[in-house]
Amino acid sequence: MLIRKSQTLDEILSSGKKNISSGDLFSSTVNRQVALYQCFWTKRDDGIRLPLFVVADSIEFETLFADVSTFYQNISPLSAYVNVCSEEVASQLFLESKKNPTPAKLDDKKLRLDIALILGEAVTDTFLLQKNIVAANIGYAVCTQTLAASIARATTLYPKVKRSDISERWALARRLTNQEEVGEAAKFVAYFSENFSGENSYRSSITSRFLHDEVSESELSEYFVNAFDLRVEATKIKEVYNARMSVFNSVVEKVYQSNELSEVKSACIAYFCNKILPGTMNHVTSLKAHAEKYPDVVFWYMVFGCLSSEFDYRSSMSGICLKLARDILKPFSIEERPTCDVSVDELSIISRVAMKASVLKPKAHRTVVVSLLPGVDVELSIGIPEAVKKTNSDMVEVDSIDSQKIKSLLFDALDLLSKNKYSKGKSSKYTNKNDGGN
Amino acid sequence: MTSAFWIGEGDLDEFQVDAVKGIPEDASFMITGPAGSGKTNILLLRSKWLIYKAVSNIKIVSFTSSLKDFIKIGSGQYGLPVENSCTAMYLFREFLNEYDVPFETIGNFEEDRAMLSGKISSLLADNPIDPIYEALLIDEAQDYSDTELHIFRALAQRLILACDSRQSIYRVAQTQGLIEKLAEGNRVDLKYHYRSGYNICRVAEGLLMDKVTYPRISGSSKYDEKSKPSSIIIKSYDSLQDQITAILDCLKGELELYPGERLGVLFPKNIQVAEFQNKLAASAFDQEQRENICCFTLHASKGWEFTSVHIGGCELLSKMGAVQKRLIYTGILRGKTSVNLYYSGNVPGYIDSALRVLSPPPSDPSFGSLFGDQNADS
Repeated sequence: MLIRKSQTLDEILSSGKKNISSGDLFSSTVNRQVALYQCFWTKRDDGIRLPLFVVADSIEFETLFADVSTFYQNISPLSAYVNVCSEEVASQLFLESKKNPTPAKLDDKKLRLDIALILGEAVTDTFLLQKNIVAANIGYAVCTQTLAASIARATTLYPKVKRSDISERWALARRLTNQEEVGEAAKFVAYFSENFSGENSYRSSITSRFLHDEVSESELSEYFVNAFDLRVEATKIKEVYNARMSVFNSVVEKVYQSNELSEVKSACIAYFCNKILPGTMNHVTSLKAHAEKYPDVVFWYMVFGCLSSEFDYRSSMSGICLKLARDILKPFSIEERPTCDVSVDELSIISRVAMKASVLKPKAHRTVVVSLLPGVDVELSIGIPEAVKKTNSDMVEVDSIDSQKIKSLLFDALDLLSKNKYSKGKSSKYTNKNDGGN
Repeated sequence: MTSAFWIGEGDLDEFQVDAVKGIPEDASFMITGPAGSGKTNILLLRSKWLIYKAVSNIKIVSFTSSLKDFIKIGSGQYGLPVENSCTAMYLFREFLNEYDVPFETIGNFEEDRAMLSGKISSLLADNPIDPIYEALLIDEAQDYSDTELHIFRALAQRLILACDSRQSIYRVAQTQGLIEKLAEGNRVDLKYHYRSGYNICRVAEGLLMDKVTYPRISGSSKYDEKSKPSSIIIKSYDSLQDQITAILDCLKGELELYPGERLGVLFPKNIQVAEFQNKLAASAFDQEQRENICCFTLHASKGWEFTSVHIGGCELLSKMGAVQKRLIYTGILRGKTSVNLYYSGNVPGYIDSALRVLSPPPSDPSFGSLFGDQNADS
């Protein structure tokens, strides 16, 4: 159980003790506008002497992070020590309850689909970069950086969170760390994920009705057989193993000639590819040739694969699925400190001036662990800004320090503009709530 | 990654676990079991177990250099020093060099091995030499002569011998019961085999009809026939060139069907192997694909295993002498899921006969057809 306190930043930083200031004759008489934050402290002293949670709204975030990074650089980024989140997120963590919330019962189907989308995103991105891959070689590190991994973790901890919010926060984290543009695959993650969760209520095709559990796998199979005239192939793909690749190629030929919806064609190719050896994901390379025309084909393959009765996340794909399951399901305690380098909310503010490794103090060289929500971390490589890349390629002799300076000045200018824009709206938030209460 | 080697304890059955760690550290013993029962794997794991027990002066001895290569792949996978594996010929030459015994090989395998083992026997008879290895692990022990086996015994404190009489394809006269005697009577029989599918086993059984010397193996197969139904088929072509073209066509699809797995192409004769390798070099396969295609003679394929095996040039089997049936038996049992046989002209009748077990029995011919009436059966 955590203890709630309404505190100013000064009070937070003086180990939770009220700041007693004794004014004198020469003290300023101007009313200072001091922000108050809802803080949650643990009873035991863990040595850090900061609250475990600060609950605030987005404008308060900005003030808090700006104040800390300006005046208290030794504890900046604050989100490396304190979970700073919104009221909506905090309400799902039951910060003041006497018992830790009981972990939700393991949802096997959700876990399978979460893993399917992570693998689908990782492989599709690889294919679209024109690289070859075999199922056994899909890298764990690549999987952990996917949008699907963040959504899987976030929806496990926060069942009410909107997938679209996580997508936005993930994309923002990538932008702030100068990653490349969000890939095509991430867009499909949003589509599949929202369909599974019911966030997207529009069902246009039999495949989306399958994702909504309104159509069973056998009904979907029968639909494919009739729509693409695959009765013979549906029988043969269960027979002699060595003939299955030629049966699959025959399926692909018929699907390409059909006028069905692209999404249905894609799902059909993936469905029969999984039938070669269900649940193993061994034949993902056979889909590479179709990924450009049907970019969602790998997602469908992973969905059918992970939903197969033969799929067991504990033993599939040399242990990658087990490790992903560990990351998705790992317990999260509200009584523990963050494990990230910085939260995305704080990063969006402190990146307005040039970011230095000495400020971020990242865990690994050129890699930063960004928290999207408390307990939902994503590890991102710190990329080279596009502007710097272009400068380097076009004008080799231009000192890159100059471009960093320009970037820093631009951020400052944008910062000033945005402060002016919101100054009216902010003023009421900066009144001392203690005064108002008295 | 290929699936020829185990990755965890859960992959081993009780008999295999017993062979790896159930026998006392100092004991010699023999391991018997059919093709695909895990004998080579057990030798590798036993050697790893011995290294953990601070027994480090070890050699894993193979009969052929191709089998040595297979063992080296496994050594890499299990984290064993690859220099621990060698052929028997290499081991013998090194031993003679160490004791400054002059010898000259002539390039004839059979004669050279007889000469080397003869020289070592004389050396050991004249000089009391203590065992120079802490352990020798011998694969395919059924292929060695009595003299060679006695040398192994004399050179090693612990002797571990893996064998299967069904797979003896070299002309050796081995005294009955010698291996068991050299293994001090300690014996582990592996009951199950995991490599070859049911259909492949049934055809292999049809090749060697002596049920006493060659017990049936289809009943002890633990191959997962349900998820990967196995197949074995025979195809006829006009020439060896056509056979090779057909094999290359099949390999194209199989490289996709069995990603990362090794595929075997075997022939009875070296000249056929060379012809295939020339065609493969001129084909459109890339380097990575070519590395997964292994081409050997049937002799050299011993000890290897492949997800799919293509055995070409079967018309020459009849020229392989007394071991021809055991050769094709060994070749077929290299295959796990699929075996394709190719020939031009005729194949020995025992192959047709063995394959017939997979076909439904033909209906009785009409009396008229015996006299050449083509329409009599229709």
